[in-house]
Amino acid sequence: MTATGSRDDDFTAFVLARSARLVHFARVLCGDAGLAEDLVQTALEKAYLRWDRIEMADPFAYVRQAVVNQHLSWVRRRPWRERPSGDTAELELLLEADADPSGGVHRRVAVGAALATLSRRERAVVVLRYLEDLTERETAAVLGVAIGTVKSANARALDKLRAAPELSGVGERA
Amino acid sequence: MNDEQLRAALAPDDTIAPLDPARVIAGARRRRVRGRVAAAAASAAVAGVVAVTVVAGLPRADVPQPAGPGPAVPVQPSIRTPVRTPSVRPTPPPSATPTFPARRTVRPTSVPTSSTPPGPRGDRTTPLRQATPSTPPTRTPD
Repeated sequence: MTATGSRDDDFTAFVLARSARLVHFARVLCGDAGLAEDLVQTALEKAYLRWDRIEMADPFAYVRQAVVNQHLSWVRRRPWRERPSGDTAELELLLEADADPSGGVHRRVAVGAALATLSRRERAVVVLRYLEDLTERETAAVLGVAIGTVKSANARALDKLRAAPELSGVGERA
Repeated sequence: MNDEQLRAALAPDDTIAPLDPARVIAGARRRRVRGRVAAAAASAAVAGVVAVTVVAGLPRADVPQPAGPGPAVPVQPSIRTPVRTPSVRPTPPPSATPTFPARRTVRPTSVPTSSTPPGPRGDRTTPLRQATPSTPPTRTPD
């Protein structure tokens, strides 16, 4: 097997194993299913071009970092790009919620709506801290900011999330 | 909702399908080609600008160079803009009584005659015969 073939096989295995998780991460990060797929696709394309260098390290962390960077830069360019009129994924979740006895879907919808009120940096901090379970130091490294900035953004984000009735206890230990 | 419930609400579900790796690889190859084309175009543009700059900076052989500065041409005022009447410079009083008191000319201490030999070259101690304005200037302000 050639080096390129082996490289492609490794990359294909990575995409099949981790891209769904990356798409979910991007979806929570940006709140848009279509944009999330675009973000991950672009990040994976860039990762493929440097696969020899990043394969030995942590490819998932590399692609996740690329998704975050891409998201922050795309948000800055957003006014000149197309604007989505609505997210159908949220509507589908609302329809599912009627058949959900545990209330898990309701919670997802409530969390999604509450996350939409956050700024992009606050949202990124919440997603990295609570979805990816990163420490404050790791979150600061991913975002390229100081730890104090992460702490203050996290505190502001939790204050905003607590304003939603379904999320009044966020920030308290279970 | 506490932290754990927030984590549970954010946790991934199994409804998201993975991306197509072949599509990702094809997109990456297109991206690489686009990057190379853009880099080549940028290099060509830079080389073109440098070449034009170098060519424009070289002296051209078919264009005659100026021989040097031309004769100085006295600048004449093109418009009449006198603001005041030029004052007449007082002439130095002669040390001796002038022969012709009516003419206000500079006279040397000894009355020169036409046979007086000129002084040495560069000697300016002996005043030369020089016409002085005997009448006030005729140009007056408007």
